[in-house]
Amino acid sequence: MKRLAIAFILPAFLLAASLSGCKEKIKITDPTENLIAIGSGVNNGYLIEVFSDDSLMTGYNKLYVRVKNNATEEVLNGFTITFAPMMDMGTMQHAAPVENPGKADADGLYEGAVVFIMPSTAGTWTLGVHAEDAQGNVADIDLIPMVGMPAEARILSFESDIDASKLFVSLCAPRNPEVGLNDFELAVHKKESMMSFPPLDGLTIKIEPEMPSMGHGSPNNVDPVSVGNGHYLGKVNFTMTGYWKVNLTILQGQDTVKSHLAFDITL
Amino acid sequence: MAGIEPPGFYYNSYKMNSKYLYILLLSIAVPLAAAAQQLPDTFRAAPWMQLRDSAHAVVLHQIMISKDCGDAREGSGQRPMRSIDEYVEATPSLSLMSRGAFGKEPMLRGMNTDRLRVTVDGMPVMYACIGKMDPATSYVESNNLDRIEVQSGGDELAFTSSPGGTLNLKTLDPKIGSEDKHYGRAGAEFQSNGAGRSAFLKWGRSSENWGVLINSTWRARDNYSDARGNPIDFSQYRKANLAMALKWRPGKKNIVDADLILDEAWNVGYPALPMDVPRASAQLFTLEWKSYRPRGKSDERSLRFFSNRVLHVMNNYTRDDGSMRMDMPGESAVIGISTWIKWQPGEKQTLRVKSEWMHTTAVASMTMFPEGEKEMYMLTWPDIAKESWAGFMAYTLGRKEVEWEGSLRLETQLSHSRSAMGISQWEALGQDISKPDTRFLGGGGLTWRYHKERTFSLEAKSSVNLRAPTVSEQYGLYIYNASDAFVYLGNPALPNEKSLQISLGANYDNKVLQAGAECYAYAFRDYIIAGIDTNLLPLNDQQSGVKVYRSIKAAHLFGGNVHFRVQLLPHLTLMLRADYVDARDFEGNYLPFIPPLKGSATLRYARGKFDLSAEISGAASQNKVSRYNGEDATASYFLVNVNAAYNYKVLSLKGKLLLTAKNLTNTYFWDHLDWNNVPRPGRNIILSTVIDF
Repeated sequence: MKRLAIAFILPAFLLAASLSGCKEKIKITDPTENLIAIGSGVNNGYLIEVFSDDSLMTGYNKLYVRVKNNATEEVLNGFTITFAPMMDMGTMQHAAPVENPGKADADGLYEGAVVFIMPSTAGTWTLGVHAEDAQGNVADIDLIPMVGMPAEARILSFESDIDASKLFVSLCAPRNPEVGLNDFELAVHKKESMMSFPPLDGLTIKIEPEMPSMGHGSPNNVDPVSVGNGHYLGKVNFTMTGYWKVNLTILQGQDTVKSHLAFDITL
Repeated sequence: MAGIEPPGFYYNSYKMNSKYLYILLLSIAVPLAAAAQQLPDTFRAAPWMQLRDSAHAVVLHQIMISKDCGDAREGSGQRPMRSIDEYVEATPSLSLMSRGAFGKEPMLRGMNTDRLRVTVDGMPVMYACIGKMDPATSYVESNNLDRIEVQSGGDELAFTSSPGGTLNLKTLDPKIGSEDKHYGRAGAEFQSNGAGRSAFLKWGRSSENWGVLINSTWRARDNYSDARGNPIDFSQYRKANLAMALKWRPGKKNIVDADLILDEAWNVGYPALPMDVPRASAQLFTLEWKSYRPRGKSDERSLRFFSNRVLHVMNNYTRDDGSMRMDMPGESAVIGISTWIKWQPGEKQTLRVKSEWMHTTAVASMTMFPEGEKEMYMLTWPDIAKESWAGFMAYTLGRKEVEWEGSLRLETQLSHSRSAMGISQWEALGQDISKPDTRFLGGGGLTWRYHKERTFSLEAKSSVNLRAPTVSEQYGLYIYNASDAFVYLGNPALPNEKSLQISLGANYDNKVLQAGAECYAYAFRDYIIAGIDTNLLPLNDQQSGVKVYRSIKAAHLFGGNVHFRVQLLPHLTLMLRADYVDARDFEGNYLPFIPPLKGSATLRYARGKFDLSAEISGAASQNKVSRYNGEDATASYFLVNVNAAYNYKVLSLKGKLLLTAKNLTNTYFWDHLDWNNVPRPGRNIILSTVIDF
């Protein structure tokens, strides 16, 4: 009987041993560890640092601002940050769409975004960062960011078929596309003047991913819907790695704003 | 249990009955009207199997010895280098699904490896190819094979929950003897069609308490030609196999067996598929300890450890058809441990208990290389790990000429994907496979046996089985099937497939006449089969569409086989055989790939140094084509095979020279189970020789 017991217990033991997992370790990290420093400046005793997820590219770029007391290095949370990007092309100047940050997060980072609508090769970008708190303390810096061209365009600009107004559609997500379902987020801005690019809500956007070399698409995609502030949130499904084209059709009510638009996404 | 049958079952079986009887009668009366290559001495349906350990002859439970191979078939007069596929094809109730000249998929009672478990020395070996181009039979060599054991009708519950049964390839055991002895055998063969060439060398040493056996085999064949003289492109293969077996007897009543098989195949073509196999590699290992020491009421115990790994590389680099270059590698691994105990609780009573833990993994991917673009990569088997724990118990009670046996199997199976990408791929299809899938499987069987001395036996068996879906059926992602040009998607939510089976068998054996017949019927609930999903789009426009595995309400299958052997004159034997299967879903639609009615008749003359045989085999036309697959009907065919063996002696060495003609009449044909109607080889003259030392 003893052997019998062993015969049954041993497999059970192996089963249990193979099912036990390992535990995760908790680590404290610098909040800017995985970010790239874009630039910094000191003004009125305040140190303003600007970070981004990646090096800046034409299109939608998230920016993170940290304000410190330059003497004590204390991180200050009570400021309101405003971005003022400006492109100087010699004969003309224009701004770009911005999303100014709200309150600082727990790490003291103010998160906002700038949509650079052309690369630095077209002229010179300056990025003005204005910080102001409730007590009237103010700091201003100007950075000269280098904006590159991504391998695959992340912003589309075109004239609306309805009223010929100039629109910008930028791809916010997926930033690192993976096989499977990905969040698909667009930001749409309208050019009112050289200096004004307000967000445009309420459009209907349809997406259709396609693998041109195979001629197939993918199932279970979710068309992006307007969530405010010019942003549209949906899902895109990539069934394999490789070169994908995500086709877009944009409508306002029943009227087509633009069709045959596409983002190239290679993963 | 009567409720398990689908409504149409009785009606259909009644309707088929008269036709079925007629077919059986016809195949006996007109034996020249039928089937596959067929070997004399195949009809040994022994009610008991003797385990040939020279130290102990142990009576195991009932096993149908369908085929003696290797050394055991000495004196059969047949080629010693026949491939395993040739053996399988000549075994009653077995047939082969073919995608080319290599690695044909065995089917038992019309059920393929989705429902049939193929084992090597009792160890499950999983195919690593998503297209099932490498069944376990392709990793074992026939000259290292002792016998093929077929277990079905409920006997399979000791090894698997699947209703199709098990096909076990029992490899040769090293000899153990009282005297120190070397022994060996070498052989070579040449085939005219496709310049088939093969050779093997076997060497063994036996001692009082240990024995060792090493077997090496090499096979090569170029493209064969069909009967019209057209070469069949991509039908070539190369293969090498090394098998080592060690037997050790540490005490009078203990035996330790270790077996290692290394198999490599390369440059393997598949004419029915758009891809070939540059490499298929398998490593198989088992270690077993057996004890026959009586302890209480138990007199037999064994503990076995086993593991194997299969790597299968597939691509289309050699195909010049303008399609995109593609890589489709797959890998599977099995590791497990099992124990086996036999008790004799009373006179004529036997209790057998088995427990088994097993862990299997399967991963396969597809990479495509479009010109000037980044490669496209996806998983087709999303790295699935399955862990199963099974307990089996069988109780046998004998009373004079009648014996009852009840068996029960309980199995728990946990499966999960180990790949984040695989989980994402499934998430994108709307299915969450991140959590392990737990299933309770198993079954129960009841057998009644009657035997009168050793000449006549009757057997009635029934069992219920619960089968889990296979990796492809549950988790497969866009697996291309070259037979119907659809891509197949698994279905993680598939329920277990339930089945009820009954079978009846009779055997008669005196020295002059040997005859046997068997019939069987299966009723399935939640039968797993792939159906077209028009909401999903295929991967490219050469594919017909997407099929998704689903459970249909019910299906049924029935069939039977007869075999007959009579000694006409002292040196002249006649053998006949016929096999029939029918399978349908609950609406009466045929299921895919039903083997056609097959039969064979063989006449053998053996006298002195000569051993001559002639065989006519063939298949009836098959018009039962499935609406689930893009099958077409297949015409009937007849083949003539002849074989002549001459035993000679050079110095003190015994040898054998064989001249064989397969498809002597050069018939142009393909079988219904051959994919995409690729013609089989035309006339093939084979010269082979073996020498013993």
